[in-house]
Formats: sequence, C-alpha cells, structure tokens
Amino acid sequence: MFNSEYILSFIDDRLKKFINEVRFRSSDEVILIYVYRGKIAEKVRPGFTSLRQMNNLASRLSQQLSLEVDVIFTIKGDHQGLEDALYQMLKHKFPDAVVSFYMSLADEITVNSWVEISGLTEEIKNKVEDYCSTIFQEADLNLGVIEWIDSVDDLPALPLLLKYLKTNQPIKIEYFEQVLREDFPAVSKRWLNQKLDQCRRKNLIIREKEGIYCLSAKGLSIVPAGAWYTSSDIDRVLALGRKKW
Amino acid sequence: MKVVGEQLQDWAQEQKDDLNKDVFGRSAFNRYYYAAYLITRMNLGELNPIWKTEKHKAMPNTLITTVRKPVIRALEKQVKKDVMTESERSKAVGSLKVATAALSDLLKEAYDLRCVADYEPEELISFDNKLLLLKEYKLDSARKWPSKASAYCKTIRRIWRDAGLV
Repeated sequence: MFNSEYILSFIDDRLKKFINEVRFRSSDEVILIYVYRGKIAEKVRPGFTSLRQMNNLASRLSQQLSLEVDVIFTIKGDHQGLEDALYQMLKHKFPDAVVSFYMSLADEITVNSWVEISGLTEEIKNKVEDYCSTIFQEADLNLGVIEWIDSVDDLPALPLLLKYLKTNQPIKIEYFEQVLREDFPAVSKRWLNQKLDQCRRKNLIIREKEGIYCLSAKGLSIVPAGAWYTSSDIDRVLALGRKKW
Repeated sequence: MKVVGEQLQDWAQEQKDDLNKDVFGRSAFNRYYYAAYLITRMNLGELNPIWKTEKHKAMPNTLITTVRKPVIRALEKQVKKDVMTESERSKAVGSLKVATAALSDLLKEAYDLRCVADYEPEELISFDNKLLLLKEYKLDSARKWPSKASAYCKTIRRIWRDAGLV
C-alpha cells in the first residue's frame, strides 16, 4: 500500500505545484496523478506544465515504483459551476433553442463547447457563438472549438459525398439526391449540382451523356477502402446485392 | 443505465439516514459511469467492431491514439488529392482531438470515482445542502456523464463519417 506522501517523495518539487492530488488505487494497483486542465499549456512556462511533462513524469514514476501510473486531467469545481451557469444563461437568452450545453478545457484559458440546439440555423449559431465569446471574455477565457450537436442542416463533406457515389454508382442526379436526403434532409438539387460540378472539374467524377454520374479512377482512389465492415467496399457490395437489375 | 442512476440519485436525496444516502449515492456514481462507458463502447463499436469489446482501462488511451489515426491519415490523403483544403483538414483534426481528449478525460475521472464508490467504502459521501459529493465531486455533475459522452461521440462519429470512413 502506497500513501500519497510516499508517492509525492518521488516527484520533483517543481512539478508538485501542478498536482492537485496523488493517490494509490488499491483495487487495480494504479497510481493516479490528478492535474487541473487549467495548469496545462502547450509548452512549459512559469506557472504552467505541459501534457508531455506530465506524461514523462508518469512513465518515470512507473519505472521507479514498478506500478502503472495514470494522469487524470480534471477541471476545478468553479469551472463545473461555470458550465452550469452558462447553460442557465443560454437557456434564458435562447429559451426555445438551447437544449444542452457542455464544456471542456483545452488549456488554462481555452474552453471548448458542445451546444445542442433545436431548429439550428446559421442565425442562431452566430448569435449563440457571439454570446458565448462575450461571456468567456468577461471571465478571461477564450472560446476554442464550438461543436453543434444534432444539427439538422448538416450537409455531407466532399469525401463522404464521393463515398455515397461509390456505393450507388452509376446514378442519376435525381436518385442520388433522394439517397442523400435519407441521411441529410438539408440536401437540395442546387447544392448537389454545385458539388458534383466541383468534383467533375477536379476530375473526381465522370458525367455521362444521359446525366449519369460515376467515380473516375482518381475519385475512386480517394475514397477510403478496406476490409473493415463499415468500409466503402463493403457498402458497395451490399448495395449491388440489393440493386434490382 | 442512466435512468437507473437518476432513480438512485433521487432516492439518495430523499433519504433521511446518512448511511442510506451514502449507499444510494455511491451506487448512482457507479451507474452514471457505466452509462457513459457503454455509450462510448457502442459508438466506437460502430466505427470499428474491435472497440465493441474494449476494456474500461484501455478505452481512454484508445480514444487519443487509435481512434484518431485513420482519420488523420485519410484527411492527409484527401488534402494531397485536392478534395479538401488544408484549413478544412486542420479544423476537422482539431475537432477530433478536442472531442477524443474530452471523452478520454471524462472516462478516466469517472472510472476513478466509480472505483472509489465501489471499493473504498471508508470514503463516505458528503453533503452540502441538497448536493451529494464523493471526494468533492458533485453527483449532479456525474449525472451529466452519459449525455456528455454521447455529445463527444457524436462529434467523433461525424468526423469519421465526413472523412468517408463510415
């Protein structure tokens, strides 16, 4: 059984100040080092440590004590409070739109956020983003990545569009639109025309005379393929099996 | 699983006896962890069947290593072939790193609290008005673990999907 003082005696004084808690978990014999995310910076500088420094500390301790050592990055209680407070403020400001709000700290000042909105539009996105930025600035924090959960106006990225085309080719634009709309209700014929035209100019797809689209060899080489069960090759084989000739 | 946790939490808060509050409260921590873990395992399992059987302790590390690799490789290839711009790639990789790191942190911390709740009965649940805390961690915050795990998984799946991998 290792107590915290004993474990701490193996840790350099300059690193101890970044550590919130050290403990030995007897159930699986692991030493845990708790570090606040707010103490992590990209590079070591006065008052801050880095991921690399903490991971090096863990492997050094592991060798010295012949035990598994795990670093757990956590957020302070006041940051948990900030998440709750910001959620309430967003609910108050956008009562019919905001469903949930979560945040995580990337480093001492950068906050990443996940926002779930019902009926997401560009206008609401911008308003919520501006509102969050203003509040974080007031708290001396920066808004990092903001992720929108369950956005119904989601559209497929180009690599995904090519994967759908690989699965369903040869296909007319009208049918292709129907296939895409099953997973992406926001897809329109105009948007699809634009994207297919863009792909054609990059020689990724071929448009035949009858308005039928297929992947070119270049397009085919881009779509990730392999033997895993979600691979485009498997999707293609299954689609061929379902096809009525 | 989340519903069970919520019910246990409600019961814990209703109890008059501190010992009963403790046992219901620590069981709620356990259920909230399992809900988050199973949500993660199910979502990752849809990306790669190997991850359907991923062990508790391995999951956080898998998230920040092998879950990232295929996406990073595919996106680099797509930039080279001019299907994606460098800024689109960088944004997608940034989002993937943020979501996998956040989920990895959550699972590590939640697993440790679950171990305290299950194996260290001497570490009692404390009370601050209506709040129940285990090692200063609020049970109300643990209640969010499953929803948070689900939100982070959605981001990871979206990026995998956008890269054409699923």
